[in-house]
Amino acid sequence: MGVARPPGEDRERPNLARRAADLACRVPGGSVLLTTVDYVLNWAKSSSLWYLTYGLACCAIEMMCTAASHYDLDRFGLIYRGTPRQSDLMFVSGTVTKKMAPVLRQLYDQMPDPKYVIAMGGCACAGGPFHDSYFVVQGVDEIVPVDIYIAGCPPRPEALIDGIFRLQQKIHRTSLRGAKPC
Amino acid sequence: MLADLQAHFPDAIEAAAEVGRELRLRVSAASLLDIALFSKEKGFSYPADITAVDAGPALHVIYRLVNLDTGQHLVITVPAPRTGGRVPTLSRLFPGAEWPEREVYDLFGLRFDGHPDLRRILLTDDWQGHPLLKT
Repeated sequence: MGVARPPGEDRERPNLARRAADLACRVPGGSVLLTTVDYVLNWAKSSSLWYLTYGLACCAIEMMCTAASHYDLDRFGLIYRGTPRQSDLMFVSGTVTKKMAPVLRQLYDQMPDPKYVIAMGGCACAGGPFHDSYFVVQGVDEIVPVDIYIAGCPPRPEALIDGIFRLQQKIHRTSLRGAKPC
Repeated sequence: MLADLQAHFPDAIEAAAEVGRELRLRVSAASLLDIALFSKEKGFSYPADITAVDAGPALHVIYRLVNLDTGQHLVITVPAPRTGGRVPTLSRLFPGAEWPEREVYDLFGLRFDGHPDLRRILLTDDWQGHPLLKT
């Protein structure tokens, strides 16, 4: 959608403004930016996925590692929140026991819409090594709707970041059209 | 320590072995409290672990007491029947024993006499049975 700009112009702009210009269509001779509401909203949603500080097992270590300075989730707009009320995204990072399941569901219910869930690792996807165990939920999708499944035991940070990118792509495919008023 | 114990409890100790810095005893449930109290006064004041094993015909409750001054371990094994077994609680001697005993109760169904709060700790309250009992 971007229009051709004179060379050299980009260098003087801050990064964010340059990115915004890519998203918009500039009217020749004017300073009006045209885009769709969907595009702007989806861009905002996918670029500020604040996620819940919530770890369940060894996958949580990998999630913390992804959040720390080496992989640095902050650069994608993903920031830890200490409360579900401020969170858009929940990583289910690890084994969900049947005793934990109601807690997980309550945390999910406390998150405001729009909200997303990433099932991280084999346990959260389908029970993993605890398949057929007496006290492990066989996949977190039995409790909450899951947007992205990431395989691995645990998945590497690269895999988690790839899952986040795919969630962002998924958000970009959504539209307000046909949405019911709250 | 072993000589001390055998002098004080000549009948209670069914078997004893010394392996390195570890003293292993096998005692009956009836004499467990006395031996634990005696050991605590002798310096074995840290209950490092309380667990159980389904040994087939009987359960073995295993207590590991550590002497933090000398580094010695005292491992006490108490046999108990697989169903309806009762063992005295050590939670009056060692307050930290309360939760490990709840875990043993939860997973093996063994009841601890005198325990202040013997509820399930890992599984949900409506769970049927005790999962670590072998069938």
